[in-house]
Amino acid sequence: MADSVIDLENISVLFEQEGQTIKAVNDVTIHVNKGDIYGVVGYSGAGKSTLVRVINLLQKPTSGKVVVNGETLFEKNGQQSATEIDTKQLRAKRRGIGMIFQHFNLLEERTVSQNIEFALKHSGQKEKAIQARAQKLLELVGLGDRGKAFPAQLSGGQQQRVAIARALANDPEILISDEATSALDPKNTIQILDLLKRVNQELGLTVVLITHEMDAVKRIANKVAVMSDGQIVERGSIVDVFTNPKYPLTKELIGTAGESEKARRILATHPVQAAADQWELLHLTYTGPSVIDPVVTELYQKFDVEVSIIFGNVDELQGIPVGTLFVTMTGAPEKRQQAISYLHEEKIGVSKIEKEAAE
Amino acid sequence: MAWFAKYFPNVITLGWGGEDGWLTAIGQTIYMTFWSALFGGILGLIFGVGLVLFDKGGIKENRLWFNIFDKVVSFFRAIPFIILLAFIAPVTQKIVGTQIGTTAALVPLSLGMFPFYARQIQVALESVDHGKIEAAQSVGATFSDLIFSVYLQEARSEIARVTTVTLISLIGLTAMAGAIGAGGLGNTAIAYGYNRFDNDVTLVATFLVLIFVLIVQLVGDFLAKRLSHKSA
Repeated sequence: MADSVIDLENISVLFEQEGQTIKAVNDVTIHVNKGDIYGVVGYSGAGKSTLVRVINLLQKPTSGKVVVNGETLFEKNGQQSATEIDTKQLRAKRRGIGMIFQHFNLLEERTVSQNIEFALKHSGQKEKAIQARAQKLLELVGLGDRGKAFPAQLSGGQQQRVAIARALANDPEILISDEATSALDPKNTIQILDLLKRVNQELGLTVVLITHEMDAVKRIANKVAVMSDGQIVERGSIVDVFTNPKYPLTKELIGTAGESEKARRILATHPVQAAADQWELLHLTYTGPSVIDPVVTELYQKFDVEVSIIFGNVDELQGIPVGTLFVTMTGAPEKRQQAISYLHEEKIGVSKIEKEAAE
Repeated sequence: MAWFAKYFPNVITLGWGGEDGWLTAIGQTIYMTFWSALFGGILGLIFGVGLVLFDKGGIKENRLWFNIFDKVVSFFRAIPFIILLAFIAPVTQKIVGTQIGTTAALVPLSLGMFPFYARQIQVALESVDHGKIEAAQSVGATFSDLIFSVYLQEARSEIARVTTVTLISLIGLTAMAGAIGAGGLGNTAIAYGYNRFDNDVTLVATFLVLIFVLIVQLVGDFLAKRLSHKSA
């Protein structure tokens, strides 16, 4: 792939723990293209952090191949001994891959400016130039006047901004964000995410965004991979995955599972006045505005089925409005079948929801 | 000063200078503390840093070296100081050319304090969050950057604190060095005070050691506070 900047191929990372071998990452292949904001989601312990640490070799894989910008950094297959670039080259390469962390990881005994200057120590520039660059980076993240402060004097959100400035110091092409918003309050989370989006657009940076918060991915990512037990169970464009999640965990993370439960709760208090085989509970997803209203009317006219909305919601993914509706469809079974086929033709995602919660 | 001459006659008899004078004893204590703190400190720092680097999950993880460092430190820590004085006398002879005297005492003192200091440094450096190491590595920090700019700098307040503790225990050790003719305030208290039943001498020597410890403690606390920019 010509425009891919990160290629991880068949990566496995094994840990030995108390005599047991734990597969933190199990044969994962992932390609990230230039300019992507690639979300990797999953619960803690799924192996997300381990996987992304492989990109800059903070974590050496047990086997697999790591290619960044077309250059192979590490390769090991089976019992072969590993081939990897030497330490000096790796250090240089790491400067091209910025990274930010959940707990910011700033050096607390250095001022904000000195933290950024630390990243530029080996840039070959004169001290004056380094100081000027640090100041420019601080202005980029909106902290131009806090250079002399120590990290402990800043709020969490501000510290993360400094960490972003540090990560950007050496003009990297890639920025890895490892749960960078997980320790922040909602307002700061949004500000940091928007800042990541901005550097993605303005500096053409490729971002790998690790998080357990689906909302973060929803806000800025264009692609997403869902990780569970060291493997990627589902991946694709953000709109596809959100409108048509396949794997149960994905549904759970997106919140479909919770929303289905809510739909059932509402139905329990407002029961449908029809025999059990005469109606069903559906979850509809559709992209683009104002597609759904005419369709609902048409269903009634063409197929003689009645659709009533329990509740709905519209999200925006990459500027595209994505609607979600929980509805009941009442009518004869074969009519309902025809109606669902028609919805598919209209590019509306349909999934049946159990009327009773499965125990 | 008449009351002092009345209650502390033997203190005055010892005088300031001379072989058994107070200034001589104070000078010997400072001399022993300073030089053994320097030699033992460097040794302890090297071992403390080594223990952290070679440990499991350390940046130079190495089981063999970790075990060597760990065992050496444990071995020297296990020997009671008064026995160490005698035990390493042949080594002292080789290094200093004599087994007795103030300078000769520097060898056992350095060896006596370094394992204690190494353990303290180890704990201080382990307090540095591994995330800071990772962050530094992610911006391409070199090995020496990690040691000096991350580990030692981030732990500097902690290091000031443990250095204070170590210095105070080192002052304690110098008091025993009188056993090999090193002099010092400890020796004054025992040889000229206790052994001669001149309790006034013991009292004053103890008081001087206390002042000495107090100064170290105050300076150490001040530095530890001054060097920290961490919150809470």
